[in-house]
Amino acid sequence: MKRKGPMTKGILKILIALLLTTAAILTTAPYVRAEEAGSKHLEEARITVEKSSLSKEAKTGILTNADRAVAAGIPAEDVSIIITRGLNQGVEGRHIEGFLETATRAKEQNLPVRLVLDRTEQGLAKGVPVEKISGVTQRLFGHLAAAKPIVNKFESGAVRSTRAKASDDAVETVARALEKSITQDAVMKTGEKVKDRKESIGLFNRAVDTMTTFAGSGMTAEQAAKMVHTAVDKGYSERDLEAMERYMVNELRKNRPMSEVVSGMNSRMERGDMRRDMQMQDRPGGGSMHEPGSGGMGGMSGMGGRR
Amino acid sequence: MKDGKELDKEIIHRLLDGDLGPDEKTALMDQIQADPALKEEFDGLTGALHAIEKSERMPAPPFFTAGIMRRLPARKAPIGNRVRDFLLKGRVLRWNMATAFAATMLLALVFTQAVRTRNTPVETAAVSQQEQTVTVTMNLHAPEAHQVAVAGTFNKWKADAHPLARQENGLWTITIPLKPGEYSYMFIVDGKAWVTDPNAETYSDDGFGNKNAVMRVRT
Repeated sequence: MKRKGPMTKGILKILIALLLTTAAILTTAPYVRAEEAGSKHLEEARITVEKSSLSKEAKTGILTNADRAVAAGIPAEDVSIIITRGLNQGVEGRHIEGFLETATRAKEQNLPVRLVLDRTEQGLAKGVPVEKISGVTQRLFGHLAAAKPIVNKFESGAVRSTRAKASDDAVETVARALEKSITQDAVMKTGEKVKDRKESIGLFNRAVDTMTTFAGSGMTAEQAAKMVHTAVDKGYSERDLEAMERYMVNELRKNRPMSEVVSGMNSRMERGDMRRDMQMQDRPGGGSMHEPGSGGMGGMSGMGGRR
Repeated sequence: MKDGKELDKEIIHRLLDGDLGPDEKTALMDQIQADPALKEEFDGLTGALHAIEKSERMPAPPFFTAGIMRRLPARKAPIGNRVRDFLLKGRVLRWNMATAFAATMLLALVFTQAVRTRNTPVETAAVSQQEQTVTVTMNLHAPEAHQVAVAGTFNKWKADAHPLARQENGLWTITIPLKPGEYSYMFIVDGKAWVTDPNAETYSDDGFGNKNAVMRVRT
């Protein structure tokens, strides 16, 4: 039998060592890169705080809250944006601390924090008064806490989603629905209907989101819930629900009152014509949504959309 | 053909092995006592036996049996037996610190990957799908504007990150690559007026009393 010589064994060991080292580097590299990016963002925020005209106590308070937020798992980029945007808008230190505190509390309670961060960053960017941002984000935090058990209840025994973060998305969607005064009962009833159809959290998420869009467009919460429940009962898919939203938006663009739009949509659903009408409207040239200048705002007409 | 000496030695071996009867044993002992050469041979063998009996039993080195068995020529066994042996036969594994270290590293790697996969159940699949970006064009007709930008969830509402370019007909436009998903956005005209896209796919409340345009990007 031919035996491996010492040289062959040595090369083999070196190759194994190289392979293991490469695997270790590949495994840890994304974490290292994320860590470096996070440090960079925090450093930028730190410099902005140090350069600001805030008192020493206020500076310390912001930086302490920033460290705590990052330690809780909030992305350093978001922490940095809230601090720098807040300081650039002349927001007082205590309010910036409050924004970070709300996000950190949400994260520490294992709630999805993206919506809270988005509202804070958006409010600051749009120049919304800080008291209003603070109130909105704190209420949102409460809605997220209320939404979590609803989604958990839906998920027990429901078809598992294959999409990442589907559960977090659903918690945020339910929180936004609660924010629009849609009742917990209406949301849970949606969940039961989706479960009856053996559908996953994706359809639940879309149905609740459509309900919120309807309620946000002028329908009463009851009308929105009833319409979406009917759609789910009739086997509408996620795409169908999205098309319903577009249909309603286009009908409103024609300056039709919401009551007329609601009764029209309900009767179409009852007759089974809704899907056909939605498809016709979604065809190029089938509706008014791509016509330039169809909806002016502040003296400007728009041609939004995408291709 | 064996000579007389050879025969005597053979009988001595039988005596030491305990194979002789009492008469043969007595006759042989007399013969040994009478023949000095034979006696020397007998004493030597007896001494060697005593020495072996008194000596300490040395344990076989580790993997001695496995080593010996491995060197034996392979015997072709029926395929059924070989499969059964492969599955059920006890094995002796040779190992050293380098092998143990490599195995530990491999296990750690597999464990790390498993934990990451478990924490994000289908993240890998979702990321690979989301890594495909879709080119999206956004337009705003604003002939009186001096500058227009778009901000939204895709750029964390940075008001200066995505400026639109002005076309000849007063149309402002921008094309940006976005991953599939749902995005809220607004236009910022002249750096201060936040304007909702009047022709958006749909809308959502921004929570502060205004409406964001909503764009759904699909592959």
